[in-house]
Amino acid sequence: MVRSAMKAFVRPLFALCVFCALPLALTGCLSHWFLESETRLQLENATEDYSIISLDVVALDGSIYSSWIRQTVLPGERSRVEEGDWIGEFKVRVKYTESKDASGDTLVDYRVLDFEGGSMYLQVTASEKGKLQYKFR
Amino acid sequence: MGMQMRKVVKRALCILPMAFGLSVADAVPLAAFSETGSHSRDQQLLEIRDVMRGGRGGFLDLGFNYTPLASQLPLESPYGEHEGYAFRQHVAGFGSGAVTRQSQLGALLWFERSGWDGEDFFVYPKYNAFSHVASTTTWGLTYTHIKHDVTFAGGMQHYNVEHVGDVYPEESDSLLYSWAHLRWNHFSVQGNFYRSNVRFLRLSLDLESRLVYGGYSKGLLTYLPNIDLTVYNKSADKFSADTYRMNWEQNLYGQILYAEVSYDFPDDGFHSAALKYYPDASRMVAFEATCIRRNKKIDGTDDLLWGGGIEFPFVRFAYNSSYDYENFFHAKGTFIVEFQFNLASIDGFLFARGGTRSAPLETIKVEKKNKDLPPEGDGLIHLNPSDASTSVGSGKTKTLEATGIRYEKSGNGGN
Repeated sequence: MVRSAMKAFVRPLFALCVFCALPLALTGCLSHWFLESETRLQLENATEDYSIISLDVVALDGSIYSSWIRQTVLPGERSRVEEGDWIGEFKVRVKYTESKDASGDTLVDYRVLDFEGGSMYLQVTASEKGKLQYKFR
Repeated sequence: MGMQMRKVVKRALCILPMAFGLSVADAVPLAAFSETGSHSRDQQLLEIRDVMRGGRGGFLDLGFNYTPLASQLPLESPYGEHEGYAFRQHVAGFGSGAVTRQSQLGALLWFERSGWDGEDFFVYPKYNAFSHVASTTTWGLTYTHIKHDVTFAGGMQHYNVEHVGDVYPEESDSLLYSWAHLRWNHFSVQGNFYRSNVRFLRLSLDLESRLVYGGYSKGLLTYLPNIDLTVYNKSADKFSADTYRMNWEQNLYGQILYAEVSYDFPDDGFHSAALKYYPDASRMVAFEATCIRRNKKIDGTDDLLWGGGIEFPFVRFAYNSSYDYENFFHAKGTFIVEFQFNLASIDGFLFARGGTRSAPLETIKVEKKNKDLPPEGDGLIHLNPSDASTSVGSGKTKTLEATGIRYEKSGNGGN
């Protein structure tokens, strides 16, 4: 009796497993259900008197670059969220001006940042000496 | 999911594999991908040569690499190291049937899809800006004349690029090659062509005597070497750029211990060496220690990479093995798990590719069969001698019915 009841229970369970395995096999492995495979970056210009013109990723030898945030972000503003296939440690180039309205000479700042994937909120501040500082929030 | 949570999950996922030394994994160089088309085409034809040693029977191969971590085989681009997954899926099949008593016709198909992608997947990749997804298909028809021990096979080979990210060098997206294979006894010649250009020519002398192909299971003839010489036409219009590769496989002891050395000349010299131990000559299980010379053009160094692997019927584990270095984008510094299965059959013998004797599975089957047979004489009283024949093999029946009279025999002799 117990055995037949067990059988009656196990069989549909087995069928259910097989049924579930099919879509799982089609969507791939499970890891990207909880690990991000892209970075959605938003930049906040938290400085008081610098304008950020763009953020690009540059090759380690500087030979090529890829634009990421193509938008002027004035002091106190946030950029749109931009999606990028960047997961890992990459060298970032930030173009900025020492003015509140993006006028004047364009200056360049390089920094190696670690992008872990998912939504990332990058806050840029300036030190007292006028150096840009980057922090993920 | 919050970023904090994700970090926790990620760390937790890292702990286990770190114990296996995955944290020291090396990145996959970009240049390894642009070379893969020629590597996988060569590998598929090598496998076809092995299966065509008999020229008939059947063959089945399935497999895919499993690398659970995104940090395990990162891609090395000019920008740095991108987390993601190198992948390789392969399937192959060959079947043949008799058309006349002496001739057999067959068909074969080899397929491999490999590359690098930002996500792990079975069917649909993510195709991101740094993905490289390409496939190689080899198909063909075979004809074997059993009495003359001759096989002719030929067909086409396709290299198709599904997706190439921006960082990869330019390459043609689809290429069509043709191939032909001619075997007589222990000798075979194989050619691979692009239009009217020869891409490579391979001469193989599989001198070793193999039981599965009607040879010997032991003796001096099983110690003859398997030698092949391949001429690669590296650039189709400059014949001076040819390279030659010689491969020597040698049975060291009872067709279970082998040594293999491959050598490139005139310029490159030593290429790779391996010591392989197959507990059974059917090659279902394999232990191997390998050494390969790294490619200066791709890895930037010219040194020897030592590694090894263990292969079971459904799974293969390897670390720095020469097979993965050549067929899995120069993967090194990390444990590779490959779920794979391959089985060849000929005349009722079952063995893995390259095997020389049948798998022990079958002898077990035969023993079981013998045990199941009922003892001689079933201990029943038969009215009619013809009844005895009907009851043979049905050891369970204890009663026998005859018209009018019923005889019964119980086990404990009660009644």
